[in-house]
Amino acid sequence: MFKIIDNFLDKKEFKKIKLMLLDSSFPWYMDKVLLKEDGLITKEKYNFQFTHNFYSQYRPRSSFFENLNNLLIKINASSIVRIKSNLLSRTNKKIKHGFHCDIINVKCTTGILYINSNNGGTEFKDGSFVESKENRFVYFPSNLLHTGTTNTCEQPYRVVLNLNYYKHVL
Amino acid sequence: MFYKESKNLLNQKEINFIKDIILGNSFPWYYHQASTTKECPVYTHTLIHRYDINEEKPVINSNVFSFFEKIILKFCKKHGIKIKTFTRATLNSISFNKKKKVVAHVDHNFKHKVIMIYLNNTDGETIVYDKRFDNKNSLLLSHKMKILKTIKPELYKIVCWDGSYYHAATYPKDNNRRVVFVATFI
Repeated sequence: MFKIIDNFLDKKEFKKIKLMLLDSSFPWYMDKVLLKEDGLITKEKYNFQFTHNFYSQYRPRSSFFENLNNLLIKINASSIVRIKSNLLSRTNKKIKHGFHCDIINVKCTTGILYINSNNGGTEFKDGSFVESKENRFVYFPSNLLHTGTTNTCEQPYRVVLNLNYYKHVL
Repeated sequence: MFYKESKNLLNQKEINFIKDIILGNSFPWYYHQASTTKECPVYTHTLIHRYDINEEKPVINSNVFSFFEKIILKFCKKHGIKIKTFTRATLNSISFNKKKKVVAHVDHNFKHKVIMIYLNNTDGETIVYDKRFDNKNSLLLSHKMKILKTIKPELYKIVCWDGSYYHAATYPKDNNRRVVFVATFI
């Protein structure tokens, strides 16, 4: 049900996105990972991450949105529902926040571009686990339940770009 | 060592501002790979950048500085502390790190005081060592020092100490975050 593509973007394009996200001028916003009613299974005190909203509610929400143009061409998007980046700090034990779908009442494609390699990743309800690997892209139908996990390795964070979009059908 | 602290100094309006705005989801934080050394990443929101006190004036970098300034002035009035000028102000957020604590450091190479407000419930203590700035190294990587004071974080507690003593933040042991306001002044 999910597909993995390694080395998804060409090196130069990936580096551009990675540098943008990890630059000290890039703003991150503290937010909850999940709401209780959306499937949160961890304690509320662990329910936080840094996020940056690029696109939602039918329009760009970030002055950095233009930096994703080539990525949008690469994923063959005809229409975007939401794009955000998430940054989860390293934890002393792996934390799963809860199985969920990113978008409710819309059937589109969910894609995750992993920005750094670490031992966190994306787990699916059937037990499959996709480890975070730099420049790996995983995509699946948006109604497939999944959960992110934190990382416990040397990397101080786990950063992903999370995309929900419609694909060109032709 | 000079040390003052206050609990319960913040009024409800100030507490609400911290909860809703500072810890809210529309307040920007910036990732810095190193707070002191490379292994000590930190998320910050700078209120006043560090500057050369002999040649420059402080530049306020964020609208929320005035909010914290009022609280600090209230604290200083209570304890009879005089402020000539702020020399640095920032909000810092750190989380679990295998390093356990930040490298011992002083913020400036001149005489100053450090003031800190703990903005959330967390377990990352602040450690003040018995060694004072040696006029050479603002970071002390391997020196043996004794702990002079361990400051336990408590929600909305305000503490102020002599900044010439090397000090360090400890990372939260639990998978929580530790959010503080820190300023220095002369």
